[in-house]
Parts: sequence; structure tokens; C-alpha cells
Amino acid sequence: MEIGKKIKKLGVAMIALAVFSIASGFADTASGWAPPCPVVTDTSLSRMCTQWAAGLAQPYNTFTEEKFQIILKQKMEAGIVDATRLFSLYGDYVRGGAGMEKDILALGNSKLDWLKRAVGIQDIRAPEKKLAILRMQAAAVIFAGGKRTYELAVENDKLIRKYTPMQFDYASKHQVIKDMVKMAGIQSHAQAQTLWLLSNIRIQEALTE
Amino acid sequence: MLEKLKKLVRTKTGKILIGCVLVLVLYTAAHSTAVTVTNYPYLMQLAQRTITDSIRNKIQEVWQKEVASKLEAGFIRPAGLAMPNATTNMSTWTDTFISDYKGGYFGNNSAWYAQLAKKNTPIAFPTPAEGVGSFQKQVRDVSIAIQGLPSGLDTGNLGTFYKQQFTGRFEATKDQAAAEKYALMQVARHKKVALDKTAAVAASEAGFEGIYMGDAAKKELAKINPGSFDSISSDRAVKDLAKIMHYNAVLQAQMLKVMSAGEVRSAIHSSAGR
Repeated sequence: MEIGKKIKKLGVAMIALAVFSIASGFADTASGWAPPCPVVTDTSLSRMCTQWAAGLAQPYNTFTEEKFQIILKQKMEAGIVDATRLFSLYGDYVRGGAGMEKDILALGNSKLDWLKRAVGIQDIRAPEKKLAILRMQAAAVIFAGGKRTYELAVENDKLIRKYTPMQFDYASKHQVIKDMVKMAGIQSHAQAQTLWLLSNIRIQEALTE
Repeated sequence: MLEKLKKLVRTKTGKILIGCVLVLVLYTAAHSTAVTVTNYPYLMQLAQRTITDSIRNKIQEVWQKEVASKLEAGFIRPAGLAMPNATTNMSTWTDTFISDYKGGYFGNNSAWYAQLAKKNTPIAFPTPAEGVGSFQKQVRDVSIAIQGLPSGLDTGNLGTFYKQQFTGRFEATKDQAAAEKYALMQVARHKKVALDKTAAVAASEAGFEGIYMGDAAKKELAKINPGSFDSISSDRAVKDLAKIMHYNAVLQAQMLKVMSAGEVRSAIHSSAGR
């Protein structure tokens, strides 16, 4: 009987110990309390590992960022062709052209009466006379436009002779792209001028022959 | 106090309490001095994954910036540089006019010509400055003037014209073969003259299309400062290069049209007198 009581007491004590252990385990986990070193939990291990890994990856990440910034800087680098002078000329040509055309088309007004007198046009109602006036206008437009085109061509020539094809070998690809756009713009402008002049010449031919 | 404790220790309850306290002390001691065995395979796996994630995130970030840079539009915007479309603005009008006036010398539509002749003003040399509508009207006046006065003949009364020519010649010479040859030559001559004039109209109409496009292109291109390309990225500049090359091609196509129309007219004109 005495032994049975002792066993009972021992059993109660073991159950109490088990309950205590489980309860303290739950309390520990729930509180988030990190045990002092050298005890290492999964949570603290992950945290430390993340910091360590970030430090290890940092040099590569810095290199990647710097490389990107260097490429961006290269992309932003200016080209070598400076066509600023031509751009200022384009504006003058457009404005000057409109003024010139207005003057020529004012035939019949006092401004260009000398032209009528010079070619002896008496009666502008006659269709032949109208065609004669048209021919004169075409000639005047071609002369003035041709003069402008020639001036522009001289400026184009001056600009393009400043550079040699070999210079582009010493420029970066990004600079060359920008210079190509500029030169394409100059070429297109020259072509627009050529088209305009050629069209006038063809019209004059159709009016004359 | 001490006596009370001694009494308590002697009791069963006291023994149980002391036992519990001892167990608690032992548990605390064991817990505080325990060393967790580190799981190195897990640690390495975790480290590898973390480093890989960090590097991959950085590469993705830089790549996204790179893609955004490549996707950025060029400097030249459609609103900033609108290349005139001669096909839409001019060619339809030209085609209609040539179609209306088809038959040329043989046509009987002298109303336009008479109307033009009656105007007490010179024909204005067309300029696109006043807008495409006004320009087209001016071009039509020039074309009517070039086409000249219709002869009153058309394909419907070509037979009558032939008979008139034949009869007149036959009455004068009484030579039927010679009169037939003469009448045929007259018909052919009139056809050639009509073709020559129509070719001149077509060439000048193409020329006016060229003027319209060349003038507008000059104005549009003059808005672009070449220096602007220096301050944008090369990714954007490449796109502008393509745009300008497109305009370039449009201008060249129009130039070819003007030149070829002129050459065709020139070839017809050189054979018209033969």
C-alpha cells in the first residue's frame, strides 16, 4: 500500500512536469523571446543568414548598378557633329521664302509693275498673257529659290567638310547614332529643298515648251 | 520562521513543494545552458537562396530600367513633325482634274477655259502658303491655261472632223488618195497635240505636288534642332533616325514622281511635232 501511494505521487509529479514543460514551451514561442547565445533558433538563424547573404551579394549588386549607370552615361553622350549653324539658317529660309513668294505673287500690284512693263503685257485678260505672266513668275520663283538653295548647299558643304568619315571610328556607337540622326535631318532638308526646286523647274518646262 | 519551514519540510505537502522547486530549477538550468545543434545543410540552402534572390532582384531591377529606357519614345513626335501627305491632299484632286479634262484637245469642255480667260486678274503662281484648298484651286487654273482652248472635237465627232478635212482637200485637188492621207494626218496631228498638252498638265500637276510637299517638309524639318539629339539617349535617337529616314524616303519617292512625269512629258513633246 505504501509503495502504491509513492508510485501515485511519482506519477502525479511526472504529469505535472510534462504539463509545465509543454506550457513553458508554448509561452516561449508565443512571446518571441530570443534565447541568449549560444542558443540558436530557426528564426534568429534566418535573420542572421539574410544579413550575411546581403553583405555577400552587395559587391555584385553595386557592380551591376554601376555598370548600368556607365552605360546610361554613354547613351547620353553628345555626338561630334555640331549643326547648330544650319538649324538657325533653316528658320531664315522658311521665313524668307514666304516673303519672297509673296513679293513674286504680287504681280499686278505696284511693287512689280516694272515686270509687266518690261515684257510689254498690255491686257492680262488674254490667256496667252496670263501664261506669259505665269512663266515669269515661275522664272522668278526658280531664281530666288535656286539662290536660297545654293546658299544652303554652301553651308551644308562647309559643315560636312569639317568632319571626316574616319572620325566616327573614334566616337562611341551612341555618339555615332546621334550624328546619324543629325546628318539624316540635314539630308532630308536638302532633299526637301531639291524636290521643291526640281518641281518648279518641271512646271516651268511645262509652261514654256 | 525557520522552525515553520522545517515543519513544512517534514510534511508531505512540503516535500512535494520542494520536489517541484527542484524540478523547476533543474529545468531552467538545463534550458539556459542547452546548445542547439546547427543544421548546416539547412543553413547553406538558406544562404544560397537568399544570395540568389538578392542578385536576381538587382538584375531584374536594372533590366526593367534598361527596358524602360529602350521603350522610351523618340524626340520627334507626330505632332511635332507632320509630313504632308501628297497622296491624300493633292493626288486625288489632280486625278479628278485630269479625268474631268480627259480627251484634252478633243474635249468640248471650254467652259473652264472661257471662265479663266474672262477673269480680269493674272493667274497666281500657286503657293502652299495659303493652305491646301486655295493651292489646289490655283493649280487647277494653271492646268486649264496649259491645256488651252479645246478644239471642239471629241471622239464622238472624230468622223465628222475627218470628213471635213477630206472633203475640203478633195474638192481642191480631186485626188482621193491624197485627200485621205491628208485627212488622216490632220487627225493624227490633233491627237498628238492633245496628248502633248495633257502630258504637260500631268507634269505640272506632279510638279505642284512636289512644291506642296517640298515646301511643307522644309517647314516641318526646320523645327528640329539637330542639337536636341545630343541631350537624349541613343535609344531614343535611333527611333528618330528611323522617322527621319522615313520622311527621306517619302521625299525621294515624290522626287522620282516629279522627275519621271517631267521626262514622260519631255519624250511626248519631242515626238509631238513629227
